[in-house]
Amino acid sequence: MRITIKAFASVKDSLGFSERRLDLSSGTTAEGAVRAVERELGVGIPDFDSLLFAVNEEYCRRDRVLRENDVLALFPPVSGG
Amino acid sequence: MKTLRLQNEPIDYTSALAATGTVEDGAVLAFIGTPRRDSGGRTVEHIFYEAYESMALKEMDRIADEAMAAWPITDCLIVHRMGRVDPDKASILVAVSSRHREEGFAALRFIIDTIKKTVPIWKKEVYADGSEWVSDRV
Repeated sequence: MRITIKAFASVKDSLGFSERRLDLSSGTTAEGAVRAVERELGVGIPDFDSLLFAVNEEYCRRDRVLRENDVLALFPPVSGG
Repeated sequence: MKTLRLQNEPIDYTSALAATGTVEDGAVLAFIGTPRRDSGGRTVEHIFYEAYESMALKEMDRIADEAMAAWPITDCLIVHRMGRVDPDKASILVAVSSRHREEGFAALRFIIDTIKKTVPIWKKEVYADGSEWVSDRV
C-alpha cells in the first residue's frame, strides 16, 4: 500500500523532508512506517518516545494500523501560543 | 460567530477586538501572547512559527466548538501568527464575548490552555548565535 508521511519542526530537520510517499506492506502501523523511513534514510529521530502521531489530520496512537492513501503526520510536542 | 486564522501578517488586535461581541454582550475578553526576550538565559532575537496548517485549523475549530458548548459565549476569535514574529509583536490573539464576564474568563482560559496542548504549531527560538525548536510542554 502507498501512504504519505509528513514531518514537522524538529522531526522534519531530523528526517530531511517535509513530505514523502512510502510503499509499505499492509498491516504496517504508524510507528512501523516511521521506523521504516529511519532505516531507509539511515537516520534516527531524537526523543522518539515523545513524538506525536496523526493520521488524516486526527491524533492517533502509534500502533494505529495504516490503510491505503493515509496521510501520516509525525511531529514533536506542540509549542504554539 | 467563530473566527479562526493562521496568518503571516501582524495581528491587528484593535480591529479584531472591535469586531468581537454583539450588543447583547456585556464583556469582550482577550488574551494576547507575545514572545519572551529571555529564554533560559539566552536572548531571543525572534521566534519562527510553523504549523500543520490544515490540522491546526481543525483543532482550533474543535476547541472553539467545545468552548461554545461549555460556556454561553457569543463570539470566539483565534488568530495565530506564522513565520517570523519579533518580541514586541503578538504571536496569538484569543478573544471571546459573553453576556457576563465570568463565563468569558473561563472560556478564554480553556481555549488558550487547550491550544497550547493540542494545536500542531511549533516555535523555533532564533538567537544571535543559532536557533532551537522549543517543545516546552513535554
